[in-house]
Amino acid sequence: MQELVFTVAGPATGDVSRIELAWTRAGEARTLVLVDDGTQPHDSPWDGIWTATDAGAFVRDVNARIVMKDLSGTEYVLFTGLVHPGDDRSAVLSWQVRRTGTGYAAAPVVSAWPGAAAALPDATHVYVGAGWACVVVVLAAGLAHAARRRGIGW
Amino acid sequence: MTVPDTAPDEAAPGGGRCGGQPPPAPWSRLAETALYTALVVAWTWPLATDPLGVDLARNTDGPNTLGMAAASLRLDAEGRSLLLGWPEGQSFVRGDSFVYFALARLCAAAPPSAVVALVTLAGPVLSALAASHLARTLGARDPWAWLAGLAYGFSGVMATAILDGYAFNVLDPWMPLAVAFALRACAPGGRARDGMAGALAWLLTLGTSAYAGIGATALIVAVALDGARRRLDPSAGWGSGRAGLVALLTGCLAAGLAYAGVFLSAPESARRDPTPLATSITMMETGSVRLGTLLWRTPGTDALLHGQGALLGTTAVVLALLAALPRTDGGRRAAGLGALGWTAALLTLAAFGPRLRLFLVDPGTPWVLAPLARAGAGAFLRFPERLLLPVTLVTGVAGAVVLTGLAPAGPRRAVALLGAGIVDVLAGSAVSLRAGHLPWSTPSAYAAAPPRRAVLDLWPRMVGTSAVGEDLRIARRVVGYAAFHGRPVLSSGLAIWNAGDTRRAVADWLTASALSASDAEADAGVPATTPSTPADGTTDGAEVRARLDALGIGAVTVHAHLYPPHVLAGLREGLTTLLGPPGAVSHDGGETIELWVVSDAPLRGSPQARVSALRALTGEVP
Repeated sequence: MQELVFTVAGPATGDVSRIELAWTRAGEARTLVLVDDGTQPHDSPWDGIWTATDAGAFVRDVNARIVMKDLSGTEYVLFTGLVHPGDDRSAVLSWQVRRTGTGYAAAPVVSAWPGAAAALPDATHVYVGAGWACVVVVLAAGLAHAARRRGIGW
Repeated sequence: MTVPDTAPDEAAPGGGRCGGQPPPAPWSRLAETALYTALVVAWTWPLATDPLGVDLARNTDGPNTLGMAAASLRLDAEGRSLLLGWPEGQSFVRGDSFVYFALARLCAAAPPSAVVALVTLAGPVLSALAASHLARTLGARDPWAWLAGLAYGFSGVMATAILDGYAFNVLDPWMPLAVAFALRACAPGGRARDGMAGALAWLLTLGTSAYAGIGATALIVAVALDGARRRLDPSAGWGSGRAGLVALLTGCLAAGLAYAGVFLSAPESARRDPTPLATSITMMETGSVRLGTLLWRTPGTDALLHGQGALLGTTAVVLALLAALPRTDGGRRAAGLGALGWTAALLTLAAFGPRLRLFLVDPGTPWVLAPLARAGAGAFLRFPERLLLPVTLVTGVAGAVVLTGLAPAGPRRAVALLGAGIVDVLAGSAVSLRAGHLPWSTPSAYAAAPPRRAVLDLWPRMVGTSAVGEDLRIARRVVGYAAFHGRPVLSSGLAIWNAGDTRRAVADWLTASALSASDAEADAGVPATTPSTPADGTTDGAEVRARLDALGIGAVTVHAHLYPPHVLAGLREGLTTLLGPPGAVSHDGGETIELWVVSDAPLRGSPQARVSALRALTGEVP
């Protein structure tokens, strides 16, 4: 059993009434309605991240078509294409909605964050890495300093 | 206070084993091996729980690596395997991973995934043991020498190899051994047998991966030049004995010429199609290091950039930088360490490729490999980041030597730094936190294909910015399936982009035929004009069967879940009209596969006749 969590970070304006994701799992066509009211597992209410969960037979590829309706009822095809869960147990597949010249489009991202913060996980990792480097430098400098005082090493 | 035994003498590397120091106690070796073994289990978790069933790669090359191993078991006298690239066969002359293919032969009786599990689980341990041996050769002591093993055997470069799916790269104890033997051979009293052993280890490095071979070549040249320089300097007191140095250079030259001879003997069909300059430059830029992720990783790098993050261990780099400083106790660096350090610095500069960037999105500034990229070398040197493998070795070894020198001043801090090296492994390069988890299993529909004939796989033409990558992903997967179902496939295992893809030409022709037969107006993604425009489709079922039969194709599979529903309906109807009802449909193995049997009769005609049939179909001049 493979659980897939689909998350779409909606436009910053919040101008969304409905997001649907259509795909086929093991030969069975499915249409998922994504929500942002906390009624789906893994969804936090009203944070701008629309979520749906689907469990079933393991798939290597998700051939997805995502459609969004704005508050006026106008429909936009956000995404059509392949994404890959990469895990036969569970996976989170995320998109970020962006404004285009004529409407909206969604691009796959590592993880969905409210607003336009798709790069947040990357930035966090960079900060953690820089922090870790500082810890190691302090440790090494402390040891080198102690060695200098004893007149050994570097 | 001066502690002479922490200041290795310059003559140490060749003067005796382990820098003139006694070899490590057996319990120390055991503890080191146990540490690396425990780490590799944690590092690649959960592979140890199901070594034959799980593919950890999150990029495209995992199945490909498996398929190449299976194909290497069926080589003919010309080094060609008919399991891949049917009907011409896949040439392995430029396969470049000959050590891996030899291992695959040793594992021939085991399931196809055994060789990948073997290199993934045993590779880091053996590589790490060899690196710590090199560190001891240069004066490091246990347990501080273990830092070299952590930094090299479990480096981010090794992690990238597992995440990208070419795990055979992690079984590379040869590079540290080559450098260790070279140091001995070039030192005073260096023996010819040390030089020959160094040359053999260098050849094994080259036979593991061409990139590792380039790196090892740079390190050995540095060691040899350093040894020669010291001989020319009477004050160094190294004497004039040069048997080891001469043997090393002679051995490497002979092995290198033999390798080049094999490489150049590749037939025209085994050579890669010319890559457009813009594609070539993009390939090189994608495969280059970025400053912001040199020491740490980001999810974006893992998703988009072959997992090229946390390539160097932070602890090893910080300590290795100290090695560049003069010692306060008047001691000198072990001979060869300085030369290795300079070489590592140059390789690091080269690893940034044609453009120095903080992150991928930066415009960056032109860098040292820019002239090579402009000259079209990008398709050949696609991954400058792999030049960091010798850098992980040198920084690890230098870090271990420095830690050995500093440890008496603060054993607890030194232990903390060794622990930091373990954190670099488990949280930095951290394969288990970044890996995929896919079963090796093959969709069961393939079992219905006639066993001695080829399988033609159909999937739609991809469009958009990631079209080439998506196309390669499916092609690699099909190559991996072939390792399990054993039928030849038309996809190649070495193609780096879709030029010259004979499967595509045949698939386009059959798709066009099927859609014509179904009267479907659907767009199956077969453009009117392409670089490999197929012969016009035909609605005559007998002709389709005859042509497929002439190619030696026994079954056609449709990767149904990849098609838009309306296109799939037309394709299914057309194939049923031309070939009859499908012979099998499966929804397992992560895909929906529909299979039509073309013929289960024994193969007719010669291999040349099948190649001619292919060329007739694709419009190529024989």
